Amino acid sequence: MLRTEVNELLTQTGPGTMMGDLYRRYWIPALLAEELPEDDCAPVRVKLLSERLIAFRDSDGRYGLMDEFCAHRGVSLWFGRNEEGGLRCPYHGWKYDINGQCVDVPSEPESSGFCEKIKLQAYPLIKVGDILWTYMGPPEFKPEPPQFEFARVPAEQTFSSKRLQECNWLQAMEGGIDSSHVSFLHSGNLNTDPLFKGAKGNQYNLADRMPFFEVSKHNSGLFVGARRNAEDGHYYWRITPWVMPCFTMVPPRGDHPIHGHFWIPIDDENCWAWSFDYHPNRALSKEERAAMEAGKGIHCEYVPGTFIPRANKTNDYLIDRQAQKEGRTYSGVEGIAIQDASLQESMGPIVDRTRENLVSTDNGIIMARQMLRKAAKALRDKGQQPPGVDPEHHKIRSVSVVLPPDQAFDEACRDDLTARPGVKHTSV
Amino acid sequence: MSSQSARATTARESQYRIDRPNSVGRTSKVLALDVQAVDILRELAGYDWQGAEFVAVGQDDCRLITAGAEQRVSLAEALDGADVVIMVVTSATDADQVNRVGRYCSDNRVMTTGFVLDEPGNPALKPILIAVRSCVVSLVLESDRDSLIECLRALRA
Repeated sequence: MLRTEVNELLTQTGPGTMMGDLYRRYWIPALLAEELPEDDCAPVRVKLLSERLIAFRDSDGRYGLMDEFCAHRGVSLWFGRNEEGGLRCPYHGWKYDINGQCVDVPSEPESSGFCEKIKLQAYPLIKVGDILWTYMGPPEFKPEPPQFEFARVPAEQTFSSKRLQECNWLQAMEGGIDSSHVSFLHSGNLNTDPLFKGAKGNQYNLADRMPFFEVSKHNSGLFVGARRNAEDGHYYWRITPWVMPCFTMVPPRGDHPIHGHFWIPIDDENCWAWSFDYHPNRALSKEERAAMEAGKGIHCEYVPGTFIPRANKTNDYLIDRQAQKEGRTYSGVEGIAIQDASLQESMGPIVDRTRENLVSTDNGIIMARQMLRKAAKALRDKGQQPPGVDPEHHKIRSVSVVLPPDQAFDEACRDDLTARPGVKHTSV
Repeated sequence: MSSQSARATTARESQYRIDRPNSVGRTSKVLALDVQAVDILRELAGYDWQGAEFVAVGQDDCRLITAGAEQRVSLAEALDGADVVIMVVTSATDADQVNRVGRYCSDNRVMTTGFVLDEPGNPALKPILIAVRSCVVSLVLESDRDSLIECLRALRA
């Protein structure tokens, strides 16, 4: 359990909050690149860390992310005209470049220099992989661009998606660290989902519902190892890396692409659940990509034209009680993504952690909360750069492996847990 | 709203929770298996807890550590009524000691966690880790004492 004040510290990410200041030291996913598909395309409203912003791509292909509202009288620049190197408010024609600098106020003489005094808050927006990333912190501390492997492999090897999740970021992210729920909540999908099925490791998952857990720190977060019984006294390990503040990877299954998540706060009651799939040394097959686009694996189907999941709280997540009874799905909700989202949203917009009753297998979650709190305090009190900002910390992978009983996973899998370009992931 | 799920996820609904405890207190026993761990737990025993008992496990008997007093008991008496046992070990721990405690907890179906309060790369830990892994459901490797406190508080010790 957590005290109320600690829960607030961890869950609030708006401007001026401790966790908000921590988040603002990282490059974070802001949009899919496909949302700004061409020069001078329509701008997109973006809310991140409780800041309302507008994203656009100018005439020269440069990306901008700035305050959504015109400095004149507060009109949303979503109505803006994206033309000739800037976004022009349609109300009185005020125009801004990608840096938020006002470059034209038609009602004032150019010689007055009036527009030079007008500048909206703006953040850098860069394309790495198929995602547009932003950094919302102090410019002098802007880190080098992210080096997560999924974003650095060739385009044909990777696929990313995002969905709206209507709850606080932390309770969503904790689901990524807690692998004990897989043997229950996702048990119906291990042998049926095209992006999961057929892996030898699945049988260990299903046969052993009481995994042993081992949590150890690395330089930017945790490794959470879940150990289940395999043959001949050996153990099947599934090792989940967590990189601060919110990156996790799911341990792989067979030769399926490996996948993972970010959970990016929209505000304190909503987040974007980013999901990626990639293969380190081959292109995704047509069938794999089609499955991802169809919402299989960790992805989901959408309400057309939106990033809102088709199964959502307004339709009770399309729950199928018959499927629940028959064991086709454990909770009655279809799809791994929405199985997680439905339960995490049901906790409430910000779960009350004073009422928790944690058990030993929650140690990963306990340690992650502590690391986040310590990092936020160290940043506030000593200006200490948080772990995970350094792009070298991004070169990490999840692993699934069978080991003899006397081998520690963090020693045996040291190389496997490192992203090595062109080297296949370690999987069972 | 069209569904109970939508209503249940509003801030207003989530503020409503039945205002009674949703669990009875659990009996937590925090065990020090060597002198280094005993020193740490002797300090922690003086903090406010929700009924956690701190125990120094010796070769022949155990001592209940409370602030200012240490009472000698058998292992069975020390662990009597435990809902959860947290074994705190360091590189000074005797692996046989771990096995003895682990066997008792296993025989009595007590949920057991291992907390290795030492530098994770210390080679002296290897035989101890083998012993601990065989008898706990969860293991944390961490050199920071504050993490142990955090873990105990989170588990309502």
